[in-house]
Amino acid sequence: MAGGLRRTPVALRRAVPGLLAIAALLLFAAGLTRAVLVGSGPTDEDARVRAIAATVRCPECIGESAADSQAPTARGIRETIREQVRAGREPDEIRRWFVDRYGPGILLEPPARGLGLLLWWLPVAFVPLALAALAVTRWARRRTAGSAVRDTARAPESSAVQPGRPARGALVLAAAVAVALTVGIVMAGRGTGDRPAGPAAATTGDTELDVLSAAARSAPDEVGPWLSLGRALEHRGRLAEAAQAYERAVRLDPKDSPAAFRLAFAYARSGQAERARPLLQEILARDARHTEALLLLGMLQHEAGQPEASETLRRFLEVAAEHPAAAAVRRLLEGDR
Amino acid sequence: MTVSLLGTACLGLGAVAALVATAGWVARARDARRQPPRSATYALAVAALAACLTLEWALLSRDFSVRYVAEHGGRDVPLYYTITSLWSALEGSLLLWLLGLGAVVVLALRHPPTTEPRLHPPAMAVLTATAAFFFGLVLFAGNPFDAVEPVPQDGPGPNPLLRSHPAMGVHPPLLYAGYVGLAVPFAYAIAALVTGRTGAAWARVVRNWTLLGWAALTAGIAVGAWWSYAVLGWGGYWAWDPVENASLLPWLTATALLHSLLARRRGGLGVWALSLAAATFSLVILGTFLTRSGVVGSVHAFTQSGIGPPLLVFLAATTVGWLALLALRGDRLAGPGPDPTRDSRGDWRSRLLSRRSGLVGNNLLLTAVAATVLVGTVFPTVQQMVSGTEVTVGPAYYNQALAPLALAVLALMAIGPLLAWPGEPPGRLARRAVPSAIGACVVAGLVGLTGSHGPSVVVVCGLAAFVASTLVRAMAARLAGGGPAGAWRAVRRHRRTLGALVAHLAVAVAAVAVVVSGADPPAEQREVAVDSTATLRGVTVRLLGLESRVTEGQEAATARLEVRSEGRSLGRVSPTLTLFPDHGMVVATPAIDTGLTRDVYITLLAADPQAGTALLRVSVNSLIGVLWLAAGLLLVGTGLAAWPRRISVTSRVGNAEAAPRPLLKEVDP
Amino acid sequence: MTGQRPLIARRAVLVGAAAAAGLAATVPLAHALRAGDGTPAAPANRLASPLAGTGPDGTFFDLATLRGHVAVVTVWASWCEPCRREFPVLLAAQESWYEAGLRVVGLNTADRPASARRFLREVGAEALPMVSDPDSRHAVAWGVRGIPETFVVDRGGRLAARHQGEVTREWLVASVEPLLR
Repeated sequence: MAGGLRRTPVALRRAVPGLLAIAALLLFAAGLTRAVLVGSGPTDEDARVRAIAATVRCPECIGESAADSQAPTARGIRETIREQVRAGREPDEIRRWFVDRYGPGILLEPPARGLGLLLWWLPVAFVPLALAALAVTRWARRRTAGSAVRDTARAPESSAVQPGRPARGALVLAAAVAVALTVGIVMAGRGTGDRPAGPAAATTGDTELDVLSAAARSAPDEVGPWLSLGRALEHRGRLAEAAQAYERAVRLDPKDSPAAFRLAFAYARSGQAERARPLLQEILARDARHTEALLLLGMLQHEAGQPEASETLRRFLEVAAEHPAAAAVRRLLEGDR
Repeated sequence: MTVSLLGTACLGLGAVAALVATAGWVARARDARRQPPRSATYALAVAALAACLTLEWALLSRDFSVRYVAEHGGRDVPLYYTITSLWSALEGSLLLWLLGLGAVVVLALRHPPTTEPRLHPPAMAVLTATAAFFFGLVLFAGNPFDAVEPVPQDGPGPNPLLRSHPAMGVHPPLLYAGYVGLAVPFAYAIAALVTGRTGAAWARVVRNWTLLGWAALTAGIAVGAWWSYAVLGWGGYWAWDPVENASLLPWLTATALLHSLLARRRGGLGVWALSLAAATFSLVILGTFLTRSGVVGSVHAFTQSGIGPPLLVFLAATTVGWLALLALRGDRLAGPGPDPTRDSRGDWRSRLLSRRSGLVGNNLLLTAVAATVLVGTVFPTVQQMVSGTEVTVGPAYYNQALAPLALAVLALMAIGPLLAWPGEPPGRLARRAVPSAIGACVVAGLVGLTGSHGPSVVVVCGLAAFVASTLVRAMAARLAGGGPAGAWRAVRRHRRTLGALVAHLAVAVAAVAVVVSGADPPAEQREVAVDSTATLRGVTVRLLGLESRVTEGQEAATARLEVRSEGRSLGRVSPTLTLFPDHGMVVATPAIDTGLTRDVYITLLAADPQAGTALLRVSVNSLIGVLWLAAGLLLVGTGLAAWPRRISVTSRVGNAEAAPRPLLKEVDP
Repeated sequence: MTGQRPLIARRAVLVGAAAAAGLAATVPLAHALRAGDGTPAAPANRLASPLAGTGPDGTFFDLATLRGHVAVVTVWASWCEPCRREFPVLLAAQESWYEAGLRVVGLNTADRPASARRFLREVGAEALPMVSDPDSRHAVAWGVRGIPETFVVDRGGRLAARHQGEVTREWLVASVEPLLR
């Protein structure tokens, strides 16, 4: 190549590598752009479920993720994640749902809290810190060497280094490299997070649900179909989706106490007490003698350790002394005393 | 009964011989006129061999009066897996460790560093003391030769996973060979600290042993990955399991050590290389402790036993020992000699862009990777201790935490061969890098524009192309000129350099295989009835029949399948699902149609012969074959670099440290 | 030479500190050797997850109908041998505490209805209310780690106790009897 170029005019000879390099860079940029676009395109439900399941441990296995394991529980976890993804819950919400049931050990990614901070910061900080340490020791050695008697034979370490400007330069460069590496690594680490999951209208293979779901979507401004769909979902134990349907119903008619109560109940049963409580209080503001709302609110308050619990439960006993749960509530109140 | 006595006697004699040898070597280290305790040293190796043979004999003769045979032997175990039973459980694998250590001790005895004889006795003392510890450990914490009363009629046999693949005969011995091989660099590190002598002779002996241990460890890890891929049926080869990490940790520091020795030859990284040699052995012991004491849970970990506390004491003693020696004696070591190539060219930027800096960077990155893996491995244990909460550190963490470091390693590998020992101005380096960089951009661009690859695949392919191109150019620079005969002469002259280049090329290829296979779509599974077909991940399988076979100790179900992929028949395969009721274990042995660019991987997950249905899992894994090839290439390169030279000592001294020059000559003359 | 002395001393101190740190790190590890078996604490006093569905025989059951009773929910499958051993224990418990308000409920997970029916016939537990959970979703919602696993739900519908592995009469006495008072 060099021989051929030597015969061409000097200007052209200089330009060719530059042009080649620019063309190659453009090609690289195009390829990378396409790859990023392919990667960030709308991911399908399977990919989202898999991404979340890969961060959840299979509780029956040792060190295997729920995405890889064939154990029954792992399959159940995948199905549960799928259900919650369909209901539009965020990956972190879904993970928290599992932590509530299994403890933090269910997650394959250790939490970035307490000792876990060390775990996440070590790979990021190791190289910059080591470089800084290296630069500092060399700088220190140079200073010692500069003031020492320079005797190559007796102090070989000091002979290898030179005092003066290069030391400062190396230090500055080391610092710059450290900063660049840190920024780069942090950027690289951020790119791998979960993408937000959009709500998906999926077919379920369950005829009744499909019919109800179609009915609700065809008449999106009516409360009734959403309520029915919510009940059907709730009945199948798919609480997150049920809550979504009830939410639609409540949004259409905020004064509809039955719908609001179903929603609160679905929240409570799917472990979202913090959402259920204000809703129940709204219901009770409209109807202070709503038995079920009093009972549920009382139980939730009791569970959260709130002092209002006994007051709410006592009101419940006043309103419904014959309720099947009344005996249990009385025992609970006695136990608290 | 006699076998029990014989075995225990072997262990006892070995322990005594090791202690005597240690005392002898210590005496010789203090007084060079003392005779080296050769017979005691040989005796400990012979005792280790005899103990292994005795246990092997007990296993083969089904002598259930010996505890190890009663617990891990079985009448229905085939011959091959009876032989490998020796290392299928903790006590036996300790014997294998001892056998390896005995072999290493004999080799180290017969090959002292010729130009620095004073290093030899203390190093031998460390090795024999290590052997003494392990003899004691086997004898007192888990003697496999204990007599069992009453003698059982049969044993359960080894763990089912350990008798379902022939790799069982290769993987553990290779790993142990690597571990014991890496004990020698540790011994010489201690010897250097004790005698205050390092230098070329030290570097040479440490390099040779590290290469040996490293090669065995590499092969062991690769075979283990292949085994896991071919047996466990989940389609992966590496799970970031604590035991896998335990083998990776010394591998990482040994890799760093090999590179630091390279820089050392040019004057530098002396104490650092020594620390790496010692730390590698500490990590070997730490790995053994973590995985053999029941502290961490793992698929590989043997059941809890009494060896934890003694191992921990040994780990603490050796680690604190070498750290203390380093603190007390480190300054006695001759500092790195003046580098004749260093201060010749002035500018600090040129000096920063030197081969030496590249090696320092390599060491930093590899140490960072090792530190990350180490912390990830011990974190669950520490967290459990500190707060009592159960935490898991899984592949998701390692993939995220190590990806940037791995990219940096790859990038360094790409420019490494371009760096000259003395360093040079950035402009000249950049000019030399341009052709490779252009090639890398083109490759990455094409990969991005064809197919549907993610950005990680594009970047890694580009970097790997960069690495490959600089390596190939460096190789060509060595081999060019002089026709075939000249090339052959060049191969012989530059054997070590060429070996290293081939090994680096293998790592780049492996990186591509890892990233591409990691981006594969997940497996698909479906229940298939007999005589019906299903298409999963583009592979059409037809279930021809289901057979179940009940033999003693196991119940196996096999699905006979006819497989077609991309309009091409792949023939008939039979994935098997085996239940071992005695162990409460199920092993799903996959059927793999291996190709260079893609494997079709079929696992039988469940079978119902009455209903005639089978639950099949199919995945198509890319470039797994290339990964195994890369592992082979890595070993070929290592072999090329490690093969001993048949040159006399004098000519080696004159020849080895030839005039420094870049691996790549200027493109522009 | 004089210029190098402090450097050496500092290095000795640094490495000594590192050695001490290494030693310090091994002590907690030794402690871990003696650490417990790591069974997670039961998240008690949480509302039990809902449990409703059809059993292997096709009848519908909802745990909510047992409000006011103490329910023992056992998670089982026909392919699980310990489950077979623990059913007599559970049936005996229901018999002795039925009047006091104990009900045993089965969650049949990762199983086929036909195998489950055969199993129930064999252990004589056909009368127990059951919910089939072929895809293990209920088991996951309950936080099941492996089968058999057994939960106790108090009269208020809250989780009172859980047990991994085969249940024993002693465990039932300890965790169920106080709730029946």
